[in-house]
Amino acid sequence: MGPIFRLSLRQLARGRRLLVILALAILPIVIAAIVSASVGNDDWRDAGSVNNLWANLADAMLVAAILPIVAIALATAAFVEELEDRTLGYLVLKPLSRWRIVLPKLLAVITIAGPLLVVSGAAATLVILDGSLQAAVAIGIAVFGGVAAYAAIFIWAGLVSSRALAFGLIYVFLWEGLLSTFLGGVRYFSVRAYSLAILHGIDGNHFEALSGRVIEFPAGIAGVVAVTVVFFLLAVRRLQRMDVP
Amino acid sequence: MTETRADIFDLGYQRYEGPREGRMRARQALWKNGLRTALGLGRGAQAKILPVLLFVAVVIPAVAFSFIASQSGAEFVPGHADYYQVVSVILFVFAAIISPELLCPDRRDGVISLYLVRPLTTTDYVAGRWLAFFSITLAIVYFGQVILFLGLMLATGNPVDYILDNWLDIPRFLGAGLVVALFTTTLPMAVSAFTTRRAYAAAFVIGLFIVSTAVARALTDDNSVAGDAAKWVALIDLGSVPIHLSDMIFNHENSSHIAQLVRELPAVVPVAWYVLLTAGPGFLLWWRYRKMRTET
Amino acid sequence: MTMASDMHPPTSQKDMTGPVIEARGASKWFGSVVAVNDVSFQVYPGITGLLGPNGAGKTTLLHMIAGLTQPSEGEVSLLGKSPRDHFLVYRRVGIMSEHESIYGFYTGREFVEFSARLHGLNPLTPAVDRAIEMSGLTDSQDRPIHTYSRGMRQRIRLAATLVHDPEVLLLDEPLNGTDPRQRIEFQDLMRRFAGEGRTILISSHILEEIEVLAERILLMVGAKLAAAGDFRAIRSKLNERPYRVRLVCDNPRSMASALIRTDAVDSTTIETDGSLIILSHQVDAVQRHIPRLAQEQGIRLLRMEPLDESLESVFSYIVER
Repeated sequence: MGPIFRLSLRQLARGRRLLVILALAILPIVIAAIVSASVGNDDWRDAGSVNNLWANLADAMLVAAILPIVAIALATAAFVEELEDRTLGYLVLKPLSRWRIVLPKLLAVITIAGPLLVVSGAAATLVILDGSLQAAVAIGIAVFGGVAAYAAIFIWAGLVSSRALAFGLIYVFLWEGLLSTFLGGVRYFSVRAYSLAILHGIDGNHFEALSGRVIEFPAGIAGVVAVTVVFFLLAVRRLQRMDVP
Repeated sequence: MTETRADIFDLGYQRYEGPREGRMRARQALWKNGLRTALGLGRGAQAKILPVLLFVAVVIPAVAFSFIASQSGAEFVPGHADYYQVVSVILFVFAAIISPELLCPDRRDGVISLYLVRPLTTTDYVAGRWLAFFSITLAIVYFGQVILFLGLMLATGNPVDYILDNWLDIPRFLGAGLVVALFTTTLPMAVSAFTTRRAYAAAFVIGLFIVSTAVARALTDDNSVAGDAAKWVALIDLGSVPIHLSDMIFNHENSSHIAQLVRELPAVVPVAWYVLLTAGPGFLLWWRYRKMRTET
Repeated sequence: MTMASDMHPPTSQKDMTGPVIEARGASKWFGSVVAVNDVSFQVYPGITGLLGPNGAGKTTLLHMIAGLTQPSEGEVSLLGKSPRDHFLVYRRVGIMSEHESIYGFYTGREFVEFSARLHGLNPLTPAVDRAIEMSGLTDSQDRPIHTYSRGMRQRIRLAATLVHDPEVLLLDEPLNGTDPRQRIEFQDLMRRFAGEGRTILISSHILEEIEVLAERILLMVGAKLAAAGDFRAIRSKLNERPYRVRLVCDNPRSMASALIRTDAVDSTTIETDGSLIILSHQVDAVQRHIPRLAQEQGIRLLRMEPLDESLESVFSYIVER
C-alpha cells in the first residue's frame, strides 16, 4: 500500500497543477486580508457584521467553490490519469486486494488537498476574525470533512467515467449551488451542506449567519462519514468488476 | 522460405490526379472538421450527449420565458436581455467542457504536426477551430432568441403590433449575441491552449467562473466591506462581463446587485474590461499557437 | 543480458495436475463487436506462442487470461483459478501488457522496486538487482524512464515483470521496439526459463520472433482459435494442401521424370533457375525416393529445402482459408 500512496503523491502533486492549487489555496487568505484591512472600523467588527460577512464569504468562496474544485480535480485525476495513460495494469496485476489499491489513492488525495485547504481556511479565518481559534478550528474540521467526502465520491467517479471531472464540476455548480438553495431536501445529499453544518455546529457564534439555511450538526457529520465510506466501498467494487484497459 | 515467383498487386500507393485546391479550402475543411468535433458528429452517441444537452439547455429558457410572458398578470416579464443573462452561464459551462475537445487532443496525441505539414499556418488552425465553436454558439443562441421572440410575439395575442413595437429587439439580440458568444468562446479556448489534458482546461475555466462570481458577490453583498470600491470589485465577476454590454445594448436595467454596481461606473469601463477579457485571451490563443510552430 | 547465477527454479508445478492456463468456451464481445469467439485451449509448461493478425483478438484473450477483462461467456483459468477472483495468483504470474506506457518520472530502478514492493518481496535488493541485470540495464537504472529509448523501456518493463520470479509469464508483444540483439537475448532468456519448467505464453503478430521459440502455438484468426498445437504438426494436419519441396540438383529433368514415375509425387515443376519444385502429399515417401533415385540415376543433389515448414506459410494458408 505504501508504494501506491507514494506513487499517487508523486503523480498528483506535479508542477503546474500544484501551482494552480496553491494559488487557489492562498486566495482566501489574500481576500481575508484585503477585507480585514479595508474595514478598520471596530464598531462594525464588534457588531458581529464581520462574522456574517465571513460566514457568507467562506461559504461562497471556499466551501462552495475552491474546496470542491481542488478536491474534485485531484480525486478524479487519481484514477482517470491511470486509465488514460493505460498504467492501471501495473497496480491491478499485483497480489493485492482491490481495497489496498483504492485506499492509498484516496489517502493521497486527502493528504494533498486536506492540509492545504484546512490551512487556507483556518489562516483566512484567523486573519479576518481577529485570531479566533474556535472559528479557525471549526473551518478546519468542516473543510477536512468536505475534502474527505468529495475525494471518496470522485475517486469512484474517476473509475466510472473519464469525463468525471467535467460532470463533477457541473454537479457542484448545479446541484450544490442552485438547487440546494432553492430546494430544502436536496441539502441532505449535498457535501457543501454537510461542511456548513459542521462549521455551524462547532462554532455557532461566529457562523450564526448560516443558521437559517444549515442542516443539523449530526446530519452533517453523518453525511460526511457515510458518503466517504459508501463511495470508498463503491470504488473498490468498481475496480473489482471493471475491465481494465 | 518463400517461393521464387512474386506477384505485385498495385493496391497501395496511387497518384492523385485531381485538382489541388488552395489554402482557403484547407481553412474551410478545418472549420467543418471543428464543427463535427464539437458536435460529436461521426463519433457515436456518447460524444453527442453534451452538445444535445447544450442545445436543450439553451432552448428551455426560451420556451419557459415565452410561457411566463403568456401568463397575464405575471410580475416578471422576461425579455431578450434576461435570456442572455441566463443563457450565458450555460454557454460558459459548456464552452469550458467542449472547447478543450477542439484543441487539446490534437496536441496531446501529436497530431497537430500533421496539420502543420499542410499549407496551413498555426493561425489558420486555431482560427478555424475558434470559428467553428463560435459559429455553433452563435447559431444556438440566435435560435433560442428567435424562439423567444416568436414566443413573446404570440403571447401578446397581437403579433403584428408586437413586431411593430419591438422590431428593434432583433438587431439588438443579434448584436448582443455576438458579444456574448465572442466572450464565451474565446476565454475557454485560450485556457485550452495551455494544457493538453481536457479535464484540466474544463476545470480551470469553470473554477475561474465559480470562484470569481463567489468572491465578487460575497465582497459586494454587504456594502460596508468594499464601500466605494464595490463598483470596481463587482467587475471581478467574470460571468457577468458580457452581460453588462448586453444590458447596455438592450438598455435594460438588470436587477442583480452586481449589475447595479457596475452601472455606477462610466460606460466605457465595462466595455474596456470586456475588450480586455476577450481580446486578451484571443491574443494569448494566437500567440501560443504561433510559438508552437517553432517548437514542433 | 548476462546470466544470473542464483535464480531459483519455480516451485510447485509438480503438484499441478491440470493445465497451467485454460480457456473453456471463452468469449468476449463489446456491444456488437465480437473480439473473442468461443475459444478453448490448454497451455502447459514451456513456451507457447499466441499468434494471429492484428485485430484477431489476441490481446483481448490475454486480457481475459490475466484477469483484466471479464469474459462475456465461458471461463478462463490461470493456475487453476479465475484471476479476477483470486488476486493472489499474481504472486506466481508475471504479466506484461501491450501498452508501452509507464511512469516516466520513476528511474528504472525505482520502477522495478515499485513492482517488487507490491509483490511483497523481502529482501528487495537482490531480486531487483537480478532483474535489472537480466535486462541489461544496470548502467541506466538510475536515470528517469522518460529518458530511455523505446527498447530500454520495454526491457525495464520486462525486468519489473520478472522481478518476483514468476512461474508463469504472459507477454503481449514483448519485442515491440527492440533491436535484433535485444531480441536474441530475450529469446535466450525465454529458452532458459522454459528449461526451468516455467510456463510462458507470448503473443505476437511477428512470426519470425516466435518461430524460433515456441514449441506450440495458438493461432487466432477473426476472433476464433484457428489452430492449436505444434506448428509442424498443424501443417501436416492440413492435408488438403500438399507439401512443396525445392530440390537443386545437376539434372532436374531426369529427377523430375523419375519422381513422377513413383506415386509419391503429385507434380513437379522446373523453375527458370533450374531448381525443381515438387508437390507431394507424402513427404516421407518423397524423402526416401530422392536419395535413392539420385544414386540410381547418377544425379548429384545440391540442396533440398521444404517450402512450407515455416509458420508463415501455415499462417497465410489458414488466414486465406
